[in-house]
Amino acid sequence: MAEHNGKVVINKLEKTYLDGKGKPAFTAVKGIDLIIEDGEFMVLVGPSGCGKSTTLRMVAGLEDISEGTISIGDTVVNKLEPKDRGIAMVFQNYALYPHLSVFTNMAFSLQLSKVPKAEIKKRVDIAAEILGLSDMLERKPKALSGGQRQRVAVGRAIVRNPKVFLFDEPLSNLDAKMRVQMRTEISNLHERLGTTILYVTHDQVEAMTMGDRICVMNAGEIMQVADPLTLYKHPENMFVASFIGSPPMNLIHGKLKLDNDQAYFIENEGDTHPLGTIKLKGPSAQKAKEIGSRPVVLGIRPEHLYERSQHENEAEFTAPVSLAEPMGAETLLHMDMANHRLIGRIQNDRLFKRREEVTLYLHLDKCSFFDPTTEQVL
Amino acid sequence: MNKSTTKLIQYALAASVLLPLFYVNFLMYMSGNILMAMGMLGLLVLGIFIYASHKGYVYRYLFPGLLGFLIFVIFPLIYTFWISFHKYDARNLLTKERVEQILLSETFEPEGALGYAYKIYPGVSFNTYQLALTPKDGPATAEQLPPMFLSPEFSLPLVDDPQILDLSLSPTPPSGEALTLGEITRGKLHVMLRGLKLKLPDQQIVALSSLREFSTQKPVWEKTKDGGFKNLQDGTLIHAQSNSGFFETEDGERVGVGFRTWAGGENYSRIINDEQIKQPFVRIFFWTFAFAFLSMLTTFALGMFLAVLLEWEGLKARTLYRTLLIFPYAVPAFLSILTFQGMFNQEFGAVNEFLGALFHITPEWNTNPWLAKTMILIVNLWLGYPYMMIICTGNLQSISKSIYEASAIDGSTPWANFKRLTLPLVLPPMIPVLIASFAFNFNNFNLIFLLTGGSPKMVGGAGIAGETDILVTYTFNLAFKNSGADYGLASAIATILFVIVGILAWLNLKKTQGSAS
Amino acid sequence: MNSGSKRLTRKLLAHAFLILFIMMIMTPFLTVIASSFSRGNFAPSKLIPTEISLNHWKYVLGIPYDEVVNVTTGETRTLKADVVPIRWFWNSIKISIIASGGILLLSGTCAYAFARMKFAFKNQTMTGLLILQMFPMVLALVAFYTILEFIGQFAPRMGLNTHAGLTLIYLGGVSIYIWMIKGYFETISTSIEESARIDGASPFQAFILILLPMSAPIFAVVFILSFISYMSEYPVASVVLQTGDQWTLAVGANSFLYEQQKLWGRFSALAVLSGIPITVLFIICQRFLVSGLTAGGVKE
Repeated sequence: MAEHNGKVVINKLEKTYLDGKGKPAFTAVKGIDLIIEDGEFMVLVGPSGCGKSTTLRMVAGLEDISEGTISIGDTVVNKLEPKDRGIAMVFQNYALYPHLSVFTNMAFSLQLSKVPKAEIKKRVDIAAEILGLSDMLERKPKALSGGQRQRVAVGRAIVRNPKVFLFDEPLSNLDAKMRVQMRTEISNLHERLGTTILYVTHDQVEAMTMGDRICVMNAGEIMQVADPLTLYKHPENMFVASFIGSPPMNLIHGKLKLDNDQAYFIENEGDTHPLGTIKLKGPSAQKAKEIGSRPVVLGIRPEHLYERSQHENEAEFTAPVSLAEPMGAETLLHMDMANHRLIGRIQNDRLFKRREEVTLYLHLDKCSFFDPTTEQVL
Repeated sequence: MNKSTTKLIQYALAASVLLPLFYVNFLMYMSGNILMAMGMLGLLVLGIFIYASHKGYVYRYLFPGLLGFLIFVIFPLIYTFWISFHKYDARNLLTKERVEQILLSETFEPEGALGYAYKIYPGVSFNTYQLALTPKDGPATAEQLPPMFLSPEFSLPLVDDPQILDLSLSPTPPSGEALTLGEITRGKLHVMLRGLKLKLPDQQIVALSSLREFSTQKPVWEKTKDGGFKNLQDGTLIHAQSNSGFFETEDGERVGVGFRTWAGGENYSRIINDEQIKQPFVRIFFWTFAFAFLSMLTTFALGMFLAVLLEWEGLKARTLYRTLLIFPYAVPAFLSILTFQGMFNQEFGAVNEFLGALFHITPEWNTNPWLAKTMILIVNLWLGYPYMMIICTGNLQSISKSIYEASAIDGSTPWANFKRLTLPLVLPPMIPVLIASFAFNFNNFNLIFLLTGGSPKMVGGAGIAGETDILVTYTFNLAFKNSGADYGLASAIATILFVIVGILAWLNLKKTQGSAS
Repeated sequence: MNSGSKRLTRKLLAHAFLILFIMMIMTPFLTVIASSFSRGNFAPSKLIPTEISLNHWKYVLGIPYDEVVNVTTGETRTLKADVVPIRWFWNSIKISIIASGGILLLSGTCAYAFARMKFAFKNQTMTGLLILQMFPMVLALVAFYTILEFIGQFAPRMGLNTHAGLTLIYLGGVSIYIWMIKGYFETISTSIEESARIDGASPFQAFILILLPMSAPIFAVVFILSFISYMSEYPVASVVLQTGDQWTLAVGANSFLYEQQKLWGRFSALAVLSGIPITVLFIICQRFLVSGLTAGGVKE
């Protein structure tokens, strides 16, 4: 396919909705900057209302831009109509034209721009071939399954031969099994076409499995942009830490104390102190010394709690099990701590009882420290 | 097709729509309706702006519909409201300008009037004629023919009354044969010619004074400086009285026809104070409510009952039953209503024929007020239950079947099912429909007007009110039936009616919006 | 009695009730048919005419027929309607189709703006439309008369006693239909039009090519409902249309039944002739209508 320059540059982008009297009522997107390289698969992820869909719709040209610029392939597109931006979009509910056949659905944009009939047929046939829709071109959308409809929606985007594909939560209307299948298909498609994709989802699993890079958004701001593993291992703030990963990272409020060349993490006081004071060792102690004595939030992923000691730098603690969820290969242990709940992902094939006292080991090398007020990593 | 051709076609289309409109607007202006012409021009310019400017984009979709609504709903409403503050009835029908015009055109034959013999010739097209007048006392020798004055062609009966035509001197009579006296009298042309005023070249007016002749006339009335009129025959003075809507002499004697006049809240106060109006109004008012409410209740009950019955899965041929039961809704209502008028005829109708044969009773559907009201409710039940049945069926089908399975496990009976499950679930979404049904019946003109026409007559209703009249038919009769033609009073009642139904509609809207959110 | 036979009794009762009820419901139709074939102009009273005559049908269809004037001498005269009553039926059909088409055009475009666009006072306008429309047409007749008289001065073909004038008045009744269509448009996801926009369609193209075809069912419902309501409209037509050749079916049918002389036979023949096509049309469209009415009733 043709050489595309699908580099998208978003610069200080802002979206403010006005109330009935023309006064600013609500700012959905608060001046974000983001560069999506040509051919990159970028996922926008965040809870609902975080501004990710608004951002996508501004790139598409379906929403006016309040402030800032968007450029696609070095052209500022703020004032361009959607059709002139070189984009194609796949909607959450597919948005197929129910009265038109699959063929006409896919050919609609080409017909509007008066592409010759033979050319239309060729391009639709190629797209249908890629998506395995060749046998159902004459059918109406009503006669298709959810997955097939989704493919038609994708096919409609492909025939436009865009520089950038925009996906707005395209899999959320599918059942779990179909979702996994379509996930792979879209990834394969990206591989095959090599076109830039901007993909919006609220599902962090989808984000992690599909994106080259992930942009996590919250309350109209970008929290972190990184590849999936960096995002998981080195979250830059408490929001990303708790949003990415299931179950999320445990965040324990407390403070660091340096005493005679030793570093300690002291959990904030509560009724009970299962964790209490832990002595930091190795890299974590080093890190603590850099940070100094101050209130912090300690972050630890559930899989870094073990039932048996496995590493040198560990902290041992005992807590009662409040809930055990056997998942098969592992068990999720919920433990009530001073004033929060700690979750451990334990590789073990025994059944835990409620209120059973278990002794766990916390892998100190995997700890992160966050500033409790700014919520940024230290 | 390239862009410039498309543009050209667009312009041509726009021009073909706009030019006639502008022409009509011009005609309107020329005829002296300056205010209306300005209004139309304003709308035209607004329309052009909306369709030409990008700013008016939204209004391109709204303009035609809202314009129609403005002219045919909002304007009549305002007009009716305006009339309700006027004395405007059969006696005070014309505008004041028109009454003055009539006064000024009244003429009399003064002493020593000149007589003119006339001949009437058929014109080119059907019902048009031409007059030829010759002076009676002029020279009539063979060499010197008397002067002959010709009128332009005009149609009979006259378009306007009075109508003024200019005469012109002509050497020759019109072509064709003049009508004989017999033809004139047989066609009653001499009667129709009475309203005609002819103006001689010297500005003298001539009018028909007897079967055979026209004679010069003088106007009866002359406008005085204070806006009144002076009778040139006997010198009496008359002035317009805005209270009575008549021109009156000093002694209060009315002259000529009445005109429309401002009446303030009089029409409204008449409804409250005038026993002749108040008594029937109050009774009709309550019957209207009772009728609307009972119609709503009975149609809903029957519709609901049938809908529930037809939801019974064990029953065979449900689709057939349903189709047959919708029948009364499928037939145009006015045909059914008129048919029922015949069937309920208490002497010859099918209903009494049947009741007489079976039970030896012949109820007086037409003369007994209570039976007449019952008949109306029966007919309206027949007309209205299918709609309720359709809507109830829709609502019933949206109830999950599993709750009946659950109640069966709880040991419920069909009646308890209906009372405790079906009704409470179906009723809330039905409330807007019930209110709409009430509002519809409140103004169900066709039913009452075509079924009973309001009869039997209400005692003490001034001949207009009937026992079965509802407000809307009563108002219609006030305005359009009999010699009453009391537009002012009718408009006042119409305004009151609108306020009532408007409030109902508003409540309904609040209710539906409440249940939707 | 066991529960099985109890069920059976109930079923039999239900069937008996429904059959009786439907028979009762149907009597008016049967008496009208009988009356149209009867000799003489008697009120509908029999299910089977005693003396069969086709005169009423001939009258309504404009076929000349002989009528006995003097029973003793047997003298007859040939009768033919001045204005053939079937003409009223065509008048009604013509007016109703044109008015309903106009209603679709006006209410469809308005509904699109109300459902999809933003503009000042949108909600107020919607509410206003609905409430103001509650003013019954009957009571605005004086105003209608005045308007048509005024229009007639400049465009006689659209004035009083013209079908165009009456149609014009009917076009004012858009608001219920605007609400119905708007309600339907709102069930269609906006992303369909956004998708069309990305595909390069202008708002007008999106409206014409996508939204309109998708809304065909509601347009059919609106068309049929307004068609039926205009076929039945009596008061406005009776005041606007003054001469027999211009009358609509409702005005003409009622003209057979004036106070002094009720020509039931002629009325019945006309009623059967014109009622049947409309009823058949309704029954055919029933499924459509029922879904439309239910949706309107439940959702609005």
